[in-house]
Amino acid sequence: MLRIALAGNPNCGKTTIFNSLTGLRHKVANYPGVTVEKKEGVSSLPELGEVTFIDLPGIYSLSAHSVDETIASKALLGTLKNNGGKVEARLDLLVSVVDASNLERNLYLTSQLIDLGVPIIIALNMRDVAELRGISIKSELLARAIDVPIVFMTAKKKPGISELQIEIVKLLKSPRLPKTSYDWLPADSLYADIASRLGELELGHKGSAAILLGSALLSEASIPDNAEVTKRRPEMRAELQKLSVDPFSFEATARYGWINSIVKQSVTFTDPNKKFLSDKIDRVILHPLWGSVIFLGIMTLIFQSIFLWASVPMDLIDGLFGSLSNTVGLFLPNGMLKSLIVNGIIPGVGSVLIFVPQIAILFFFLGCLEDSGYLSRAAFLMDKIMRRCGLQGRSFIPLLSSFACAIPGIMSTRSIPSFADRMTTIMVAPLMSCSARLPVYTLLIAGFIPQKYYLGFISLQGLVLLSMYLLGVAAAALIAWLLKFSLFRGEPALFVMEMPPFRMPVFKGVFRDIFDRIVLFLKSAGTVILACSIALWFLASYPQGKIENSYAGRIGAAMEPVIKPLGFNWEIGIGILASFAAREVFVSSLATVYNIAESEEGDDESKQRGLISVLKEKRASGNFTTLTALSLMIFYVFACQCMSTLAICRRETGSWKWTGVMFAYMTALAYGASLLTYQLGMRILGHG
Amino acid sequence: MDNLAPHVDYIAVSVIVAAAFIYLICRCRKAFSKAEGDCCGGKCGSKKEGQ
Repeated sequence: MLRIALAGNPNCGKTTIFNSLTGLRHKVANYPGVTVEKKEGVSSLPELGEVTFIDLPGIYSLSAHSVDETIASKALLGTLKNNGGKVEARLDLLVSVVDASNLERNLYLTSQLIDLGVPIIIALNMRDVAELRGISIKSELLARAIDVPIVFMTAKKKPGISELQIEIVKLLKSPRLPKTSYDWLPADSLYADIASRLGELELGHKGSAAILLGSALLSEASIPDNAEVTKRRPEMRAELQKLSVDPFSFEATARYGWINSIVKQSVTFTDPNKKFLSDKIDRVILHPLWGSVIFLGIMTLIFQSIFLWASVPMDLIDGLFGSLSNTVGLFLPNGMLKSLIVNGIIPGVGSVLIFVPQIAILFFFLGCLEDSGYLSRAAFLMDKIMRRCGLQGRSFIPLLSSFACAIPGIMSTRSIPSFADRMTTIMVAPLMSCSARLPVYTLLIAGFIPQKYYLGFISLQGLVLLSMYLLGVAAAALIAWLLKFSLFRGEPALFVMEMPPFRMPVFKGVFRDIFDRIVLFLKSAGTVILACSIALWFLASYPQGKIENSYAGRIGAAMEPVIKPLGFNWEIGIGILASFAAREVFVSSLATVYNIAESEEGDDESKQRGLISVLKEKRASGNFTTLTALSLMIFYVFACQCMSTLAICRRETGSWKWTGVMFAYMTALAYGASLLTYQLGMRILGHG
Repeated sequence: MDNLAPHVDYIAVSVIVAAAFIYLICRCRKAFSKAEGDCCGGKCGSKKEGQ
């Protein structure tokens, strides 16, 4: 099958084009570093049939410094190995995606791609942004100067994509190699000699070899696996210096010279000094004081809205499951099956599904922030604070992604070049409260925190929720600081991040993201949560008799000596144990255990009440105190109750040792903080 | 409503409970298998190759 790779600088629209070409829905956002792995998608092109499109992480040049850049660079240079350890098939076509509003910098990579000797098309993207910024590009002139077909387009609009498809088909049907230029190569030098031999023997192409050699000269970290290069690097550097060629900059100087001459011919700027709206907004948003105030204000608004907007749809879903339970109870004959469905499955799955509206609201705000370009500004604002903790601004995006889920968060640490910074970020990423913790927090807040308002609009429940998130952030800062001054010593690298322009969020994309998230949540409810509810129903129902004597009761009783100092009883212990499969399972397991216990007591009315009402009743009767709820929430802020997070940590660090360290420190932190909360609370309340 | 025959009730529940336990065990194994790609954030559904 023909293979077409999309390459370009970070945040130039590669994934948007990839999604349009393949019909896939990979994550896109208005900040650099969203794509950190190679993704493939198959699409059918007219007259050619099926072809494979490859979306690569963004790179500024073929000299790689971080894990994601290495993947992209190796894929383009033809040195990437597949799972079987074989070098992947050569690319048939390259689509160089170029941000038209930042032409010079983007063309640097294009000039390297041209030298790879693979047929190439330039997708000159972000036409709308360039026009808005007063940049006028004569694309025909540019195409003639570079001698490569150019499609001037806006990836979000259909005509551009169709035109790109037509050009791809044309070039694949009659392949034409670009006019490569090795003028930048210092002729008759040891460098040129080694590049030529490497090209003939190992990489099959002089261009790839020369570029690879260039990065070997620049950085010790990116030396190709070649003994001769390693041995002769100092000799090459010395010889180039003798020829008055700076080994560290000769390639960049030559390429930028070429780029400037081309841009001069084909680009005009209406007013180069004009300040745009985006720049004016930045002056306020990036202000050291006002920027931080705005950031905190936005966060408060998000958590207030989660409670304010979600209450009506939550009550509706709760009522729906109550009626479902009653109806099924009426129609099913008495027996084990009825008990399984009415006391196990419906309350278990239903108690989790009522949190769908809150998850939708959280992702609506996250999507809007991502798409508007605000997140890069937030990363910039946080850089100063993060540096004090030994982290760098580059860690901000992985940490922010972890608010949705720690798995993409940990994966996006691939864009961090420094090993120490990357490991520190991986270790603290699960401390960010992910969306799976949201049902646990909101259940306990709704059940135990009164609905009070300050200044008429700031809800106490929203403030408690915000404080849980902030507690995770504070703990992450503290742990990062400790790690950077013990296990992962070293100065944090300088943070350079491109500020994408501000833009109105594309609501279609935001709602599609929310839809994907809800589908994922429903999928988890229909699989893991359903299976856990069934398993827990069995464990809590057998051997028949009192629930305390059931398998679950016995496991809980065995745990009780350890968890009692935290204020937890055996039912909570079972929930904590079960939630290792997924944190939401805590909610479903509590619902299942309480339902079985109440049905044992012959309390049929319990089936009409949701878990929140049951908890409120338990609070009134003193069986479940507000202090226990607080201690439990704090436990969930810190505990690493997620199998998938541990699995991804193992995959990304390549070590069970670090996975063990993560699990151990988080569990110890959760236990300690919970113990402190409960015991201190008891003493303050005079029960100690 | 009439009760189900005890053996039908017993078999149905046993099958469902066994399936749930098997699913959970498989899920644990899958999560810790090295070859497993992530499926978080609605990213599933496309072919991904290892690096």
